Amino acid sequence: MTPRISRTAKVLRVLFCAAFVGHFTLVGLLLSPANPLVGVAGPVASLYHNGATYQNWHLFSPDPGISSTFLSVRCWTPEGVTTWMDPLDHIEPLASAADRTLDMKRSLQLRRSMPMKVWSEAEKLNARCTQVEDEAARTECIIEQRALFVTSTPMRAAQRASSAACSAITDDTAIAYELEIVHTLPKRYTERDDPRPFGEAQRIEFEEPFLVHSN
Amino acid sequence: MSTPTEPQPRLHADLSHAAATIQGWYRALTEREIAPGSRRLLLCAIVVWYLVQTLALVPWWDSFWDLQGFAAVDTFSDVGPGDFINHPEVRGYWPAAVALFLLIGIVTLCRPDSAIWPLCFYFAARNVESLCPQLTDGGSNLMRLLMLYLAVGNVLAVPEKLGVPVGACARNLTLMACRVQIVLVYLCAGLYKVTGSLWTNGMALYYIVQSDYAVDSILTDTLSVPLISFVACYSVLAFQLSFPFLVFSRFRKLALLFGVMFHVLIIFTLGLTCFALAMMLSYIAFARGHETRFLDRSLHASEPVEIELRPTRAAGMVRGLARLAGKLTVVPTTAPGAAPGDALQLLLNRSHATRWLAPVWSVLAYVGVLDLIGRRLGLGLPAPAPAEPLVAR
Repeated sequence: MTPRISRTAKVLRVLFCAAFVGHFTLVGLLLSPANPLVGVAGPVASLYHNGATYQNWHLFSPDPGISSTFLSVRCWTPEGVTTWMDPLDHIEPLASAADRTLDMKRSLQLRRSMPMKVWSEAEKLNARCTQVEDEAARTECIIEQRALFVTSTPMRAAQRASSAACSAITDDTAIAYELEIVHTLPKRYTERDDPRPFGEAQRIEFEEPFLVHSN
Repeated sequence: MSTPTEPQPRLHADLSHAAATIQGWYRALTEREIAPGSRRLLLCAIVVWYLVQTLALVPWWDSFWDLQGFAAVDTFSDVGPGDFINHPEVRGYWPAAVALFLLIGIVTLCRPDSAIWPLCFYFAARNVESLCPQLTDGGSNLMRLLMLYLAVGNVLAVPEKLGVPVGACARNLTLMACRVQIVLVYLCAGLYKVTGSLWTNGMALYYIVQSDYAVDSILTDTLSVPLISFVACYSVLAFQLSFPFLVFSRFRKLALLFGVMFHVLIIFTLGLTCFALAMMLSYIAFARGHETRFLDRSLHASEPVEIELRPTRAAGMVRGLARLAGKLTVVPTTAPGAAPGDALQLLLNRSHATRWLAPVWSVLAYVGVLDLIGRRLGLGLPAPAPAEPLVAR
């Protein structure tokens, strides 16, 4: 004979089941592609999933992000300048990210994310000036955004990395460095025999070198 | 008007059948816990995943967590419980946050059914993640959600202790939530991929291995061959789209086996080890009760073990931790030979089932510690790149 279940237990069980169904209905709405239902209830789902239950399962889709972004630096010493190099190749723990078959220390994401954040910050600031129609005002906007860009958090991280790398490879004799942020796309399949290391490349260059800060 | 001898209309019969099925599911979900061992093991696996990946960052704390580290983010005052550590007045105490996270993690491993510790661990883990948000990926996202479901399930089961029988319902729904969440990961990733042109024309993997995601290996080179890239792209699509259906069918083990193979390949081609491990560990949610019973009993023996310890300060600390863990009953003694270290040994060797695991733990710990020290000292790594040749300015 089935034991009698109290009304409280029954109510709680139904509430739990309703919460389960409600939660996953909202997950479905959040994750489903654009459709009329999402148009109506999508904002509610977004509001509900704004905090702890936020999720995104794109995982290399719809098309994988195939661009690469990296920093390029050359250091100035009293004797001369070095050749261009990626500063992250000379900084632990980022340097060993290249050998990452068992990347348990997760330096890969940090290594990738730093230059990407610098690039996206530049794009974000640049976008602010594209709406300005007047030529003079746009020039002024660009100068203003450039100043903001150089002092932004991603750029400060890039400067710290560049400074540390220059100090490391020149035995602390570097006094300044030039910095570029390079954004590349892979070669198309039809260009696979081309000797170039990558397809298209875009760069952010700075007119003035940065001073090396000792740690 | 129909009589009992007349055949029921088809629609009515179908609806009755559906209602009976739903009622059956409801009973199965609410009356008895379906796989308590799987749920506990899943929770422990998530905690271990968090602990291992956090401990692996410790040698490079100055890069990842320190305020002046390369990964440093701006502090902000509008913080919630998940990123409380980023409050300007709290951010400087990050070592305490990491230590607390590790301590709560160990206690959670010992008490996976607790209503308090898994929830505390969830918040601690979120705060430690917030110290360096650049490190989070899809795997972290999934682990965070599963941990939340499991912790909330334990909280909802609390009325059971007051005599209201809802524990089985809360915990079953928790496990089902984990299963549905994992299925949604694959289903969404698969559906989104179908909408992209590179996956459907079979060139996505060719381009992925050209980017800086790829690990230099024979597998990566192989994926550059168009035909192999094409077959691999469609295999990924087939796996991700069929997993949600196969895993709830009699082909469950096959789906999980394909999943493990898929993620092992991800490790060796893209090097996303933490992500792949997170996905593979989450498969524990699909284990049936009897499949995990042995391991669960070994790890979560219900009977406490009695040990004797000298009443020193260290013994007092061990006693406190043991009480938290609920596994050891410590009896103060002055007998020679009983040392605090014995507590851990006894904890590991408390049953025949785990005794064979002790050498494995020892070797793993030994190798792990050596690896961490070696890497910190720069041993075993590629020699540092020589200074670039100087060019006259």
